[in-house]
Amino acid sequence: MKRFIYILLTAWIALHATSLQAQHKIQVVATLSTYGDIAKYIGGNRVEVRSIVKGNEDPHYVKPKPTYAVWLAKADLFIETGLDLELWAPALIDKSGNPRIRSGQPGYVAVADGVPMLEVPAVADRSEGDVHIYGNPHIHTSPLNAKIIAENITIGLINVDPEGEAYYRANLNRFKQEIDERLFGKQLVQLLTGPVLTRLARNHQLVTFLEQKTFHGKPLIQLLGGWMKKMYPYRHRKLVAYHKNWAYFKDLFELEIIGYVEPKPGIPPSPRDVEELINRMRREHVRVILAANYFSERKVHDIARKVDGIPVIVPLGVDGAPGVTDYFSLVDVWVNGLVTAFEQQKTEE
Amino acid sequence: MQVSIVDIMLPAFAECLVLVGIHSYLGIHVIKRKVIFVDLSLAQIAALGTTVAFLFGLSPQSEGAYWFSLGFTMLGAAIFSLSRFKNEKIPQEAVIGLVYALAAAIAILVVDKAPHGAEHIKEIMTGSILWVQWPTIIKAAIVYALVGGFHFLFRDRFILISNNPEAAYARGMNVRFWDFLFYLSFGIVITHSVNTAGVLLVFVFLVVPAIATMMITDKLWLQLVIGWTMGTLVSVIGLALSYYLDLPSGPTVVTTYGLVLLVLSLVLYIVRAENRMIAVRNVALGIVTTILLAFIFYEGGHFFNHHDHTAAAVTTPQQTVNQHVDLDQMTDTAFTQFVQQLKTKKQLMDALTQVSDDFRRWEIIQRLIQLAPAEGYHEALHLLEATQIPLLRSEIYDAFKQAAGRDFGYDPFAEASENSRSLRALKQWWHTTFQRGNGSGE
Repeated sequence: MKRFIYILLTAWIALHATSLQAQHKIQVVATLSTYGDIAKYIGGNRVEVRSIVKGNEDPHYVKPKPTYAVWLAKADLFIETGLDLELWAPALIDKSGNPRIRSGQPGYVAVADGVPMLEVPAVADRSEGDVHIYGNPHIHTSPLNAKIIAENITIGLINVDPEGEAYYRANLNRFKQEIDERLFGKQLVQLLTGPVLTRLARNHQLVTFLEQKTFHGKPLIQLLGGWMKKMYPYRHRKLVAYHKNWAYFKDLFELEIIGYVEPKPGIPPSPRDVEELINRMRREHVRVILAANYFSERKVHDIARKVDGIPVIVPLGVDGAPGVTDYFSLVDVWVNGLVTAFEQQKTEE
Repeated sequence: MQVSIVDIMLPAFAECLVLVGIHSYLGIHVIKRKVIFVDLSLAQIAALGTTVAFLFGLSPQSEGAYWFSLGFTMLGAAIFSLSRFKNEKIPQEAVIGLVYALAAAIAILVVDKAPHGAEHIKEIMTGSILWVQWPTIIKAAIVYALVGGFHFLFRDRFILISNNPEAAYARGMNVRFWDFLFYLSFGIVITHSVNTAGVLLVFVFLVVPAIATMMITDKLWLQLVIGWTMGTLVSVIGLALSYYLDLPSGPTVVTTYGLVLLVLSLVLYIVRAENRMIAVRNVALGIVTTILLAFIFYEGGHFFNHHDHTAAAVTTPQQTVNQHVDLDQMTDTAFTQFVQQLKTKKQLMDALTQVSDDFRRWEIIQRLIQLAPAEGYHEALHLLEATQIPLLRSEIYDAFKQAAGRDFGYDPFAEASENSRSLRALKQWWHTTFQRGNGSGE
């Protein structure tokens, strides 16, 4: 009897071992759900992706759970921002005891590599609350940066799974093409190509360029499509943000953020700050307040009521609200939310 | 229409006044019953109610969530009234602490299943008195007034069970029942106030006036008058300090309360001392020691900070700078002016090697075509083959069409292989036009 059980057991183990072998996928763990979503796009059916921070959670803080260490222990690839946003990540990697995903190893990806940083402080000093010494770490708020994030993830995937190189590269090209087309419109991408448009947009020359150039006698600006077209009427518009999450978004769409409700996360602003902000909003007829939905919704509504503002509460990352299932729908929500608010402001004036 | 200090601070001040009214009174009960942390505990239970409501999809500010938290508060009141034992072998404070810890831990577990609630818990600590709305204040005032009226009506019983429970038992009162009513009314107040002012502020509003007035007198009505005066004064000073020193309001009021209590107790110590001189000396000694300690910390901070700075010299990632700094980084108008200045073929050819942007190369080539058509169209052909930008290809090709007066069948949007024939035709045209032109000119 004992022997029978023994044989059964070995057979069971052998069976499962082989089946695991057959369907072994590259195990990817991303800190933020947005990176995880892009990794899914690039990795397709060759990878299995898990994300730690959901789109409606604060990326600065994470409640440690044993599952995270388990995920990381068997991870082939670990994806993080690589700046000082997920300060909890190194401790988590240490805990997992997985040497392949340490910083500098092939299984480690810092998605911010090569992203032109904004809001880099002149003096590195944490006494100002939440100052990020390398610059603003919420890089994914610009679709242009999403392409760089995707490139970095692709390199990481090729490092740990060289056989899939052609597959990953094809997916990367598809991703970049889709971002370009959704950002600038299909026609413009055909005419000018993604790299050219990206460079123009980064240098804030896109609109001038399009307004000056013509194609078959038609100004190019008429061919502008996608998110850029939707936001085109609202360039240089002023708004208030709850926290400094939107540096790259406002830079791309040329919006002007005149102030922040809570410049240092978790620390309530002083009355003087509030007074100044409210006065500026009234003086300059600024009413739109953009907030990530991981902040207290009630507080945002309270503030909006106080200043007769129009709150735009959106998820900061993928999976942060119903319907926000991938990066594209995420940017859709940001853009549509702002357009609706700006329109509401217009009709009420 | 400018916002003034009044617009910003008036709601906060009104909220403080409303809080002072009921909390100074309830605080006296709390101190007498020796259940100091019952407010923290009840607030946490109320918060647990809100969090559980959240699990059912009710947002924290909805009415459903309010009834949930009230229901949980009732549960808490029941626990506390049952946990008062006649023989005080286990202090009630132990039960209160335990309930606090349990409620907090369960709230975190619940929140973990509903991720969006985590910030709610953070919010409970600091509160947001600066953002309080008039309707909230009025609602709170009504609720507090009802609770206050209820306590006034049954003041004899409430005071008796707090002051002297033995006597109450002796009189045959149902102490458990009245305890339950006390904790319930207390919980209703706390649920309201913690939501707007935060746990820290509510705690000092409750405890400090009670401590201060008990040091001065034993008469309840006098205690209340002094407590209310003190609360009003502290609110004014604290909010003004927060405004003029540019500090967060809630924590400033809390600290002011602490300072006032400290000063008051020092003054009372001196006034009531048998030997005033010795008392004054002791106080002065204490002050000198405090200043000395502060100085040591200050210097120490600077000392360590100085050392830290050399260690933490942070290198930010260098951004890659384009190599062709001069021409590529010029503004569009500056570049156009620059190109128009160039007078010779050689200058233009040099400029061409320094520029990486295809549109700018085309700008140089157009100028070259004006000065030296042969070289110009030659470079244009190179660019037409090299560039990946269909718009630019179409512009260059348009120039060729115009110069030649005919169509070569080139498609700017097609792949290079599909255009090989038309490109050969274009090259042919260049050869016949400019080689022959050169030949005839000699």
